[in-house]
Amino acid sequence: MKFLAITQRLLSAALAVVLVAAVGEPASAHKGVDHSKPREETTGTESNTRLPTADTNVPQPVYEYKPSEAGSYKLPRIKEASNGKVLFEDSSKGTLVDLFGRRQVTIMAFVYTRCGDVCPIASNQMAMLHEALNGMPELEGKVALASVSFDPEYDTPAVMREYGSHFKSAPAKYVPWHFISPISVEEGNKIVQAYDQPVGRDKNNSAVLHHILRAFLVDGKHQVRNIYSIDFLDPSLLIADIKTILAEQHAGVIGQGGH
Amino acid sequence: MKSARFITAAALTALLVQAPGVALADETCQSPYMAKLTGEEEFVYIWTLGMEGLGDGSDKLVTVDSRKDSPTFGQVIDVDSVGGRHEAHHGGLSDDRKTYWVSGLDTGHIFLFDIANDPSNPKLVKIITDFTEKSGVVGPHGAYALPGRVMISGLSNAKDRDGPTGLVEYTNDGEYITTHWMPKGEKIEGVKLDTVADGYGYDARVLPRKNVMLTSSFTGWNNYMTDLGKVVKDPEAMKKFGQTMVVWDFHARKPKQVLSVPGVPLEIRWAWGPKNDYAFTTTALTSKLYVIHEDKKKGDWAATDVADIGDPSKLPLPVDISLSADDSTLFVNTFMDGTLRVFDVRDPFKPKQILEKKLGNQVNMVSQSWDGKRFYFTTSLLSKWDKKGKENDQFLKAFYWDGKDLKPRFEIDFIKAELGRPHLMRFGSKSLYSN
Repeated sequence: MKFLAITQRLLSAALAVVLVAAVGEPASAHKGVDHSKPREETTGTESNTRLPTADTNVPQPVYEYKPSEAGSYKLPRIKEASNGKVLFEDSSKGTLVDLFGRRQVTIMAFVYTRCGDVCPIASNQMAMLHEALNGMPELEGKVALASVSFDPEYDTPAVMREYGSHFKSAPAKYVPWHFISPISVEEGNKIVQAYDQPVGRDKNNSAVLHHILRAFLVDGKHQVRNIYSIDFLDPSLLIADIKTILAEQHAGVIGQGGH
Repeated sequence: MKSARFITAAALTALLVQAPGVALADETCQSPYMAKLTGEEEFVYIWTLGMEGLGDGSDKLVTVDSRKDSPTFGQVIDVDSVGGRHEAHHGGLSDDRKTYWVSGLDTGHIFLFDIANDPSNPKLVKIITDFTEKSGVVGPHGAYALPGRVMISGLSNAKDRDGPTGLVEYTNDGEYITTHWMPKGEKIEGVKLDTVADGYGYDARVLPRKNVMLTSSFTGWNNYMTDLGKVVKDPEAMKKFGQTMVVWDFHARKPKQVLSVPGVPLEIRWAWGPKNDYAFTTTALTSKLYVIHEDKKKGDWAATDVADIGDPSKLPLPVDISLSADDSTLFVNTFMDGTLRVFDVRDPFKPKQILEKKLGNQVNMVSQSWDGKRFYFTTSLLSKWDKKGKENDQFLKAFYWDGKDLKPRFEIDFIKAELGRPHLMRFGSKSLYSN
C-alpha cells in the first residue's frame, strides 16, 4: 500500500510537470536561459535550469502485471559493463567501473536534461524506485542508482545536480542516486557507443537528441545483468531484479564459505 | 516527407490514442521494443534464398528502392550475396534498427547486416556460425528485438532434428547470452497445461504491458528440409507438427500456460490498442483464424477459433499475416492458392472477410507500410516446399491500399532478375539515421 501511495504521489508530480509543459513553464523556472546553447559551468545552487518536462504525446508507461518473485528466476550475464571517465554532480572525477564496484547492484539509465519526451518519464520511474528503495534499510550500502547524461556539452555537473534535485527523494537514507556526466564530449561518445545507446542530434535543433531509452542493471562484478526500455522500467520489477541479484550474491558467499 | 525520428512503441501508442483516425501502421513482424520511424519507407530489404543454376545460386540480401521520386524507383539497387545456400528464411531488426539479422534454417548461420551507415547499401558485418554449437538449437528463425538484445526463435534441435526447440538470446553485437527451451511434457511444475506441451517453436511476440510473451509452433528440420509432397504422404512425419502455443512470463522467461491450438499455429500479431489484450494467429494445416485473449475470470489466457480462412478442406495453407495499426484490418496470405484475404477485425471475435484477391501461383510474406497505404508481397515459403516448374512464381509485388483494394505500384520478377526466392522483408530509410 505504501508503495502504491508513493507511486500515486509521484505520478501526480509527473502529471503536474506534463501540465507545465502543456500550458507553459513558470517564468522563474527558465528565465534568461537559452536552451539551444551549451551553458557555462556554474557552481551555484540557483534554479536556472528548466524543469524536466515531458512531451504530452508520450504517455506514462503502463504495467499491468505482477513481477515474478525475486530469486525465482535467473538474470543471465549479458556482457561486461564498459568503463568511462565521468564527473559526479559535485564535480569530482571518477569512473563508471569505480561506481559499479562500490555496490552489489547499480541501476544506470542514460538521459539528457533537455529531453522533452522519454527521459523525464524514465527519471520519474527512477524517482519512484529511489523512494521505494529508501524505505528498505536492508539495502543500505548494497544498491545505487545512476542517471548518466549523453549530452555532456550542456549537462555539466551543476546542470545534472539541478536536474537531479527535481527527482531525488530526500534524504537518500540507504540508496544513493548519482547524476553523472561524461568528462568530455569524446568520452561521452565512447560511453554511448560502448553501451550501444543510440543517440542522434536533430539536424534542425541541436538541443534535441533523438534516442531510445536504455537502462542497465550492473552487478558488483561489472557485469550487465539486464537491459530495460521504458516498457520495463517498472519500479516493482526493478526491485525484484535487484533482490534477485542480491540473493544470488548472498548464496554465492555462503557457498564459498562452505568450501 | 515527414522527417524520421526515433520513437518508442509507447509514443506510437500515444499517437494512436490521441488520433484514432490516423493509421500509423508498422511493417509485419515488428517488436514493440524497436525504434519506429515516421514517414515513408525508402528501401525494402528482401532476404532471398538462392536457387541452383540461377545467377550466383547463393542466398542474398536484395535492396529495392521504394522512393517514389527516385530514378531507380521500384528497382533493385543493391545485392549482397552471402555465399552458399543456407535456407534463407526469416530474421529481424535490432531495437535501434541499425542491424538486420537474417538467418539460414539449414546451416544455422546468422548474418548481421549494417543498414545504418548507408541504408541504400547494406554491409555484411558479422556471421554467427556457432549458433547450434552454443545453444543446441537448430533452425534460427525469427530475430526479435529486445532492449539491447535479439531473441532468436528456433525451429528444431541438434539431438534429433525434430520439433522440440528453444529461444536463444544474443547481445546486439552478436554475442551469445543464453537459451530458453520450450516446455515439453504432460506435467510441468508451475505451468498450466491445456494440452500436452510439444516443445515446438516458430514465432515469439511480447505484449509489454502484460509482461506476456506468446510463442507458436511449426515443425523440425527433418520435415522443413524435406519435399512437401513427401512429408504429406508420410503419416509419421505428419504427426510431427506443432499443436500448441505457450504463454510466458516474459520478464522471468518462464512458461505459464500451454494452449491447445491444433493445426500448426504460425505467425503471431498482438493488437496495438492500449486496451486490446489479444493477438491473432492462423493455423497452417487447419486453415483457422484464432484469437488468443486474456480470460480475466479465470486469470489466464484462451485460444478461440473465430473464422475459417478459405476452404480448409482444400488446404490453402495460411502463412504470413499483417494487422493494421488501428487493429481494424487483418491481411492473411494463403500459400497454396497464392491468395490474399482481408478481414475486418474491428470485432476480433467476429471477423468479416472484405476482400479476396489472387496475387500469383504462390504467395507467402506480406509487409505493410507505416501509414497502412503501401503493401509488399513475396512468394517463397521453403526451398523444398515452393511449387515446381511454371508454378514456381518468385516475385516482389508492391501495391497501394485504398482501404478496399490493392492497386499495383511495381513488381520485380526474381527469377528473370536471376536473384532467387524472395522471402522476409524489412523497411529502411536514410532519414532515420541522418539526424
